[in-house]
Formats: sequence, structure tokens, C-alpha cells
Amino acid sequence: MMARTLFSRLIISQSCHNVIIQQLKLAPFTCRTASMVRQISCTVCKFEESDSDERKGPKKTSDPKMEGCKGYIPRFVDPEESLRYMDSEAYKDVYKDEPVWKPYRKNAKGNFYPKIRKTCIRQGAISTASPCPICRDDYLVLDYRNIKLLKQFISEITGKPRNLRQIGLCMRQFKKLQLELAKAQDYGYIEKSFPFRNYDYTYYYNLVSKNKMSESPEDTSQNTNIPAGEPSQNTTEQQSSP
Amino acid sequence: MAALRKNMQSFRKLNNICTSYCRTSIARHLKTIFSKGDPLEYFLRGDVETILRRITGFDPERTFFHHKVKYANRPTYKVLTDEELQQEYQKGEEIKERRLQMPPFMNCREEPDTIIADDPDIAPAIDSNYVFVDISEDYERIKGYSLRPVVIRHENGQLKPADWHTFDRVSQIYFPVPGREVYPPKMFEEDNLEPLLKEENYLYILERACVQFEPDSSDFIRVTHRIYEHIAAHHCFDCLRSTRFFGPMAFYFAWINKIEPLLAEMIGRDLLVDAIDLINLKRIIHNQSIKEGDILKIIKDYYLEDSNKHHIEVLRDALNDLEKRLEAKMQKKQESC
Repeated sequence: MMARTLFSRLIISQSCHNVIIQQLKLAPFTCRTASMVRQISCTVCKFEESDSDERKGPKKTSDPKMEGCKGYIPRFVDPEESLRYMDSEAYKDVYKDEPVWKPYRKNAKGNFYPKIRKTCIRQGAISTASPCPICRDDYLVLDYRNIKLLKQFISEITGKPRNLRQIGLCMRQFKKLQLELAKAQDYGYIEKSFPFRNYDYTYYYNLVSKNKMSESPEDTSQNTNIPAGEPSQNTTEQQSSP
Repeated sequence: MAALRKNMQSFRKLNNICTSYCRTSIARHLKTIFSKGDPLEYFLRGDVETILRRITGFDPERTFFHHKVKYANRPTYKVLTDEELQQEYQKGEEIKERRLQMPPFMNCREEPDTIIADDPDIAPAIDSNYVFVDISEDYERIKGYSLRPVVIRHENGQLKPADWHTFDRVSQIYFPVPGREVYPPKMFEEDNLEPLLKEENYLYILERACVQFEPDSSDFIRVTHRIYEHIAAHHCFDCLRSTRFFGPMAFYFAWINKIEPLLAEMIGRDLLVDAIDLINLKRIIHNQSIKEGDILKIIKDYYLEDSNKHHIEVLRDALNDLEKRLEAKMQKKQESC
């Protein structure tokens, strides 16, 4: 209604020879208009027990055939068992040579990528119809020793985790991935990026000349962390990686 | 992120970092090596540096190699004039100098023993060690490392300068060096280092050690020396060629009088000029005169007179192979003529 009145006013003003640019005042938009009439209707609520069960969803099961389905209670698996699973034939049957996240696609309606899921598993059971690649498989456990699995989720160039939109994990598993990746990098199993270390050789030349000037026995004061030195200007070269 | 930090803290506490440094074995190793004097004097000499540079060589693929990069950037294409191209070449030279800068080969720094103040009366009130740091800006700064007074009040009331492990940690908290962890990564502990060495990824461990430790810290010396010994045992000297670590490795073997494996490898690859450089390096370090002249003669003289008798077999085999190759070459020449 509002748009039509504005448009009609514009047409009228442009058609006049003496065009006066009017400041079109918009009428304040209020809820109380004549066209709106509050409708009250009575609905009778029929409550049945079968309805309530359906609304809550499928029952929780530990049946291994229901693995990866909604309502399945995931088993606790040892990280070492997971290591053996990565080399087993069962793994090859399911995933072949692709990374674990490749066949998985998050249900996105239209062009917009949905919010990242907080967790697939609530109150011990899978609570979504399409859980993330790790929650849906019992035997995939993110662990710092499971390098084969961890490497599938990181970029080869930077050593950092890939984009969540690519790998499709829930936040809980992603945080676990970050933690285990940090542990693996600490142990040296997976490589990490760090800046190149350059040395200021003037300090070492000074050290050697100091040692030469002081005769034996050497003064330990040169090597302690309480310097007798004065403030000196040192060049602050920036460490930029080539 | 807070949950992640908490997890990492508990992980570290459970793994007992302080007890994992085997100081007795380090002390023994350091005593044997550094009883001869200060290696830094010799390392910083001009003639030594030229020899080491010559031995490392330059292979652009290896020198400019990055294990992992911070950001994955696309390559850029530029259209340049001749002058601009020259400038780019100069930039490349500067980068090459930086990448080939050798980490100094130094004596281990000594633990401070002095007592600044002794107040046993305070002792009952102190329940744990207190660490005090001076955060003012006036002190001399090495590039990438700060030398500030860090002082510990021990439980017995004594005020002492901090031991080097505590000093490194505290320094990193207040004046962080990029890439360095506050607690040294577990990969540098002796038990965890061994399985990593089997994969022969020496360059990554060495570069990470350079970032994490100072060149005079006992951990840096322990890690680098262990890697050099492992390389010698498995004859993988070529892994480090045309990188910044080949020089310090050659210097290490010359310092401990064990150049025979490296010599044999150089002779095997027909790098006879490098072999003579290495022999001269050893002579400089042990204050002997450099010999010049016929290449083969110098090597043979070294083999007969000065070589370390424990490692002489490797050298003998290499020299025999060399003689066979030279004979084969001479025969071919005679046949062709």
C-alpha cells in the first residue's frame, strides 16, 4: 500500500512542467489499520501417547546396524583400535582412497551454507539425520597418534586444519581435531609452520672479543643473565619469510 | 579456545616436563667436547667461514625449501624491465644469504651459581620459589632474544639468578619470539627424538630447534649433536647439503676429530676440492698449518698420517674406489686415443 502511494505521487510530480521536488513524507507505519481484524479461533488439542513418542524422535539403540543413524548410541573405541581400523579392509571398503570427509555433504538448502553444528551427539546418542564424518563412524577417533586420520583434515601447505565448510565436522569434533593436531605437532609427528630464525652475528663477535680480552679463568659474568652492559642500539630487521 | 587452553595445560602437567631433561648425560657429552676450548672463536674466523660456505654449496631448490608456509598464496606473475629484473635478482641474493646463515657453534652456557642475597629469616614465609623479572626496556637485545635479569627467591631464602630453563620460559612469556613455545616441545626430549630420527626428517627438527632454543643452550647442543651423529651413522650427509646446517655439521666433525665418514662421502661423490677444504678446516681448528698442492697427494698424506685410526676403514674403502675409478678413466682415454 505504502509503495503504491509513493509511486503514484512521483508520476504526478514528473508529469508537471514546473517540477517541484517534493519531500515525500512517509506516513508512520502503525499496526493499527482498519484492514486488520484480529481473528480468534478455537482449536482442540488432541493429546495421544503415540504422538508424543514420534515428536521425540526414534528411540535410542546400541544396535550396530543402526550405526550413523539418528538415535544410535556411539560406542567408546580405544584410540589404538582406531589405529588398527585405519589399516583394515573394512576401512578400505567404505572410504577407499578418498579422505573421510569427501563423500559427506552437509544439507544446505540453496546457496547459503548453514551454521556450523555444535555437536552431532546429544545425551549420548546421535541427534541428527546426517552426522559429521567422524561422529557417524564409531571407529574413527581423533588422536595424536592417529596421524593417518589427522592428516586428512589438514592442508598440506600450511599444516593447519582445513576449512570447516570443506570437512563438514561439528564444532565439538573440530575442537578435538585442533587439540590432537597441536599434540601431534608437539611430538613432531606432523609438521608445523614457523618463521625462519636469523641470528645477529654482531652479538657473537662481541662475545668472542670479550672472552679474548679477559684472561683465564673466564669471567662467568659474561654468560649470566644479569648483564653489566649499557643499553645499545640494535638494528631491528624484520623477519619476513621469503 | 578457553577449553582448548585448559586441555593443553592439563596435558603438560601430566607429562612432567621438568623431569625429562637428563642432565647427567648432557653434562658428560659437553665435558668431552668442550674441554678443548671455545669453538666460537674458530667458527667466526673469516677463513673458516669461507671454507664452510664453499662446502655447503648452493642448490636453489634445497636452499629455498619451506617445510610448511604460514599462508597458502598463489604465485604472482609480473612484467618487469631489465632494471627491475636486476633488483629482483638482488632480492634473491639477500634471501639466499639469510637462508644460508649458519647457526653459531658455541660452548654450552654455564648455569649461574652466584648468590645475590641470602636472607634465611624469610624462609618460613616462602612456600614456593618466586620468580622476578625486570620488564624495563633498557637492556641489550640480541635479535630475537632478550637478556633481562630473571631472579628466583628460593624456599631457603636465597636470591639467585634463574637457571637457564626457567629463564628461557619466562623470557618467552614476557618477550615472545615468534614460533617459539614457552614449554619446549616434547619432540626434543631424548626418548621422543629417536623415533623421529628414523624417518630421516633431519632438516625439520634442526630448523625447529633453531627457533626454539638459543645456540648456546644445552638442549640445542644436545639435539644438534645427536642429529649429526645419527647422520654419520647412516651416511645421510647429502640431506643437509646446500642448507644452513651443513657448515656447523662439518665444523662439529672437525672439532671432535671425526671427519673420516664425511670425507669418504665427499670422495665417493668426486668432490675432491671439498675433501681438501675439510682437511684444512680440521687443521685450522687444531692449530696446524694448511697444506696446499696436489689434491690426491694431500688426501693420501692425510690418510696415512693424520686420520683418526678408529674411523679409518671407511676412508680406506673410499680411496680404493677412487683409485679404481681414476684407473678406469685413464684406460678409456688411452683407448679413445
